[in-house]
Order: sequence, then structure tokens, then C-alpha cells
Amino acid sequence: MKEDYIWDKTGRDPDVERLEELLSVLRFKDHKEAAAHVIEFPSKTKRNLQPWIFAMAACVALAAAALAAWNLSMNAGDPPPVQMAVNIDEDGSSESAISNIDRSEASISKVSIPSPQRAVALKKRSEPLKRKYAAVSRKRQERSKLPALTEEEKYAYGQLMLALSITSSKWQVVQESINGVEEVSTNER
Amino acid sequence: MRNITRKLIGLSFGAALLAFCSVAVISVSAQDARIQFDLLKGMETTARDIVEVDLDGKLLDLAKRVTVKVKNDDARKIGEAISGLKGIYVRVYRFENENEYNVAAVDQLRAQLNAPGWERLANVRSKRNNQKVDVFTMFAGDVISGVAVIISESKSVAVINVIGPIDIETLVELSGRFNIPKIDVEHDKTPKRGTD
Repeated sequence: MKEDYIWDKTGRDPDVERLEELLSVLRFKDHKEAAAHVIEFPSKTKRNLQPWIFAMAACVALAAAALAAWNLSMNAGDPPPVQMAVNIDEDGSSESAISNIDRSEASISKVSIPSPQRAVALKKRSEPLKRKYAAVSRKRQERSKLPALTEEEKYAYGQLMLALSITSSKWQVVQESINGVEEVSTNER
Repeated sequence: MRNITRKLIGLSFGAALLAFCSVAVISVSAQDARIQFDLLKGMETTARDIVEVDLDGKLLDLAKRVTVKVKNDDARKIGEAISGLKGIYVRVYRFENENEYNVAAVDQLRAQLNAPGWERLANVRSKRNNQKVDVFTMFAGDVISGVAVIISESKSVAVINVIGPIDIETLVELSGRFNIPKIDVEHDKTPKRGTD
């Protein structure tokens, strides 16, 4: 018996043949068949997509939170100009006050809707400014009622008002001086 | 008939002459109420603040017309208060330091008002800020034809000369309203001392 069967399959070796037969089920037959036994793992691209999605979602969430915080901080300070502009509009006062407002801020502030308590607080804060702008508006209306004056008329009227104001002021000084002297003389008596 | 005509002509001529004389007297007295401010010219160089207003003639008429144009109660009151005004002259000088102006010039100005026609209405002398207040008036019949106010203190001199009647009380009442600002150019803010 040749001993070469195990090396180059020459001759016969029943023990080896029996083992071959037993292990034949595990024999390599075909690539396709072998591939069927391969465990398939998810591809790398699919596996790495999920962290990116999470990261992007986190970024969006952070950006939204930052925007909300900035908006809140804007509302937390003095009443925004838009609030004033709205109030002025309600009063029907001048438009020039509105023109001073930064439009970019206005567009952002207009979006925010304050809570009822906050709205009341804002209204209270804006009251003095409302009154101030209402007074300015009244003065403008009064001025608009004035007739159109020439430069000479304006000058003459200005001079007259200056002279009259000084005269009335000095007359008060005279009165106070006389009253002061009278008080002293009555005290001496 | 001729005698009656002559008498009528004579009477009308006499009446016209009388009217002309009375108008002339009033205008002359109004002109006399004007103070000569030339004495104060030296103060312009040393004063820190100066206010000078000369308002009369056409400029004053123009200003009066504006008070009529403006449809406002206060303007109407001002217009009434100054309806007889013929001129208003104001000089206010304020100085940085005490006694920086020529006191003799102010005294000479006061001396002008010792002339006949002027009557002293008030004369106040106070040691506080060396204040001297003089008010003079001039009358043409029963009507005031001129007012002069001189107020001198250690740091300021104010002279106001009004020609023609003016309702100052109304102006004082209206001060602070209708563009008559409540200004006090040189009113002293130091507290009053009771024993001046």
C-alpha cells in the first residue's frame, strides 16, 4: 500500500477515504454556494449615516435654541422700537419717528409674541415715550396750523417774542424786588 | 351869511390846528420816551452774554400782523396787549466777574430819566448782589407813552425801554405760553437773605 494517497491521491487508503466521505459535506464546491454561507454585515456607508444624521439634527436644534435665546434676550431689555412704532401708529402720530427704527430689528421683533404679563410691562415702560411722542405730534400739528410766514415776518415775530419774554421776565424781577423790600420793612416794624 | 361862513371856516381851521397840535404833542412825547443806549456800547466788549433787541416801525408792524394772522387765543391776547406799542428796545449784558462793567455809564443812563416827563415808579436798592431796580413811566395825558426799566446787579445790567402803551401784566400772565418762553436771563439763584 502506497502511503502517498494522503499527499497526491495515488493508491488507496480506506481510512482517509472514509474521512473524506464524512467531510465531503464541507467540501468547497462553488463561489456562489460559498457566498451563500457568508454572513452579511451592513455596509460601512449605511452604518456611518446615522451619526451624521444625529449630528445634523443636533446642529439644527442648537441653532434653533440659539435663535430663541437671542430673541428672548432682545425682548428682555428695553421695549423694542417696534413696540413704540406700533403704539405711535395707534395714536396716529407722526411717521418720522417710525423711520428712525432699524428695519432689520423690527422684522425680527414683529415675529415675537410677548406673554400678556410681558405685554403689560412693555406697555408700562413705553408710556413715557408714548407721551413724549404724542407731545411732539401735538406740537407739529399746532405748527401745521400756523399760517405760512415769510422770512421777514418770522424774524420780526421772533424779535417781538424775545423782547416780550425779556420784558415780562424783568417785570417779574421788579415785582419780586419790590415785594422783598416790603417784606423786610414789615418785619422791621 | 358871509359872517356865518367865515365863522365856520375859522372854527374848522381851529379844530384842525388843535387836532394837529395834540397829535404832534403825543408823537413828540412818544419820541421823548426813547432812551439813548449809546452809553452802554462799551459793555459789548466785556460782557459774556449780550441780548440786544430794537423793534419799531415796519418790523414791529410786521410782528403785530403775525399775531393777527395766527388764529389763537393767546396770540390774540398778545396782539391786544401790544396794539398801542410803538417800539420796544432791550439791552441785557451779563458779565463773568463782579463789577466788570462801567457803573458810571448806568448811572448816566438813570440820569436821563430824571428829565421832565419821566416819573419814577419804583426805586429799589438792595445789598444783595448790589441790586438796583428803577422803573420810570412817561404819560401823555392819561395814557402811558413810555416805560423804562433799569436793573443793575454786580454781574449784569438789563435795560428795557417800551414806547407806547403796553399791558405788561398780560404778558407776564402769558409768559411760558405761545412761544413766550419763561426766560430769566440774569435772575440770581442765590437764596434770599432776610436782612438786606
